[in-house]
Amino acid sequence: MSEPTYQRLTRRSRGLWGFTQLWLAADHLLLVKNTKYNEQYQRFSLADIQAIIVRDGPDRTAFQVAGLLLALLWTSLLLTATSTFGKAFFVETGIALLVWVVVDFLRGPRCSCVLQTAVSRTVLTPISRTRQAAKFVAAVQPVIQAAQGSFQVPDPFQERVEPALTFDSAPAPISLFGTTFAATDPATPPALPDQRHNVDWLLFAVLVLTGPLVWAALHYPRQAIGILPTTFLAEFVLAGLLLVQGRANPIRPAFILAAIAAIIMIVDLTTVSGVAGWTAFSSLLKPGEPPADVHYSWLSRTTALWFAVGWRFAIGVLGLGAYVAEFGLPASISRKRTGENS
Amino acid sequence: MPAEAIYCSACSWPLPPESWRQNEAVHCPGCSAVLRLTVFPAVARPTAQQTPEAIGGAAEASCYYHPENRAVAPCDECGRFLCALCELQVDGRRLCPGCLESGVKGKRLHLETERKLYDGIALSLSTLPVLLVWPAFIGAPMALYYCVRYWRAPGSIVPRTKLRFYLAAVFSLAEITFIVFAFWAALKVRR
Repeated sequence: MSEPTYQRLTRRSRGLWGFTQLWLAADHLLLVKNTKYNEQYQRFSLADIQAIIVRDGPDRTAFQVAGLLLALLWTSLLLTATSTFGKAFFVETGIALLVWVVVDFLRGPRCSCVLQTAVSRTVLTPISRTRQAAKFVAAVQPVIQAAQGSFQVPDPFQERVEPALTFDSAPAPISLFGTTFAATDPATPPALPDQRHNVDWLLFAVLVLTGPLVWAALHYPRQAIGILPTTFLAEFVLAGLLLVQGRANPIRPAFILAAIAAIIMIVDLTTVSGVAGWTAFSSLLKPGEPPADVHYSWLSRTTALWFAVGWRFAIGVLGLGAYVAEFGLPASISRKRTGENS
Repeated sequence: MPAEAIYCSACSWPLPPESWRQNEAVHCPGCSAVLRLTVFPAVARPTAQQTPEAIGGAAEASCYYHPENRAVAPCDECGRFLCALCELQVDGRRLCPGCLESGVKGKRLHLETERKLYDGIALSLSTLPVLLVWPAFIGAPMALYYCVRYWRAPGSIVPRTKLRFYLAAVFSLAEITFIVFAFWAALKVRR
């Protein structure tokens, strides 16, 4: 008997001792758990799958911001290093940490995906991001529907379950262990998750923060010039993300400010602080040679410094103001202030 | 688990059918987790409860395993008559419990739940012992043995190349050659 042909559904989700992956055959889904020397298989017949439940993970913006700040602060520790090795160590590890944070950010929000059959509920470990889950559902939904037929959700159940679930008045709050929880009325559609882009305020907050860092790097090049690549990379990535995410609505103040920031960033990097600091930074990577000073090409030292700090601070403050005017405080801060019970 | 129920993956609260909107965000009434549900018709299908019928008379065929039950179908493998209780649908075929068991053991049915990856074992044997130098004296021949012995053994169910076997063979042969050369050189120096 020939083995069924499998089509790959997800990438390998790697762990310490192996990986998990999802594959699709003509009549079943296959969950592979690989432990390097052994593979375990779990099959789910397409005809038996009742539901795919994707649960959004907790908001990790605070962690990502903390990681970003940690990367910048870690890089700035080179101020304390006296040897070339020490400086290079802090620059390289700071960039590595920044890349890790950025990759986590780019992969999108986290989620967990559960596949329910009549006899089991299995967590699909290869799916851990919302975007990945959407792709997975889009890939398997037509195949499962082909095996089971299409499904109009409310119709087959409306007559039987509607009387039991109809609320004449608002449902009573539930009291548990001394805490009162407001009951959710299943008849009213729940609020959709916050559609604001966290990357907006993240970019502007980073600009406010990187202004002084760039100033320090140019003012004390022998000690702090290594901060420049990390700060520039953080700014570039965040500005790019904001422009990509917000392109659907380009007349928003945050988007316009991000576009202006991106243009000034290019100007700044190619003519002022980037070019000025390049000689000093490249000399940092040459062991044995004395560190070079910042070379200003067409602006005076004072003008270049104030330009580098001024535009970052101005756009950062304006952007944060525009964001708060549009959405209010960032989600994680406002949730803490209002003490929302989620 | 009753039919016609979908549960929150965080708190196992049963989600009301009104919230089964396809691919829309809904809040769990139990824990307020944001969920996106994709529901399929199988949720409305009643759980299969096969009850065998008692045999009516001498003219009716009885089940091979339960003579008191009426046969409903023959086994596609051995031809034995089967009642509703013994009839097992596997890979689009009707099988009796005996044929199912022998088919799984003989690996003629794709119901394996586990496979050994000999290529991974061989590659590890050819590479990891080298880190400690001396264990390579045992690891390299063992890796070569695994390559030869399990070259044609079924590997992973999903597509996977033989690259690990090739690498393991090349590494182990190189290590064995080096070991032989080192012995030969040591003997020559001693003489």
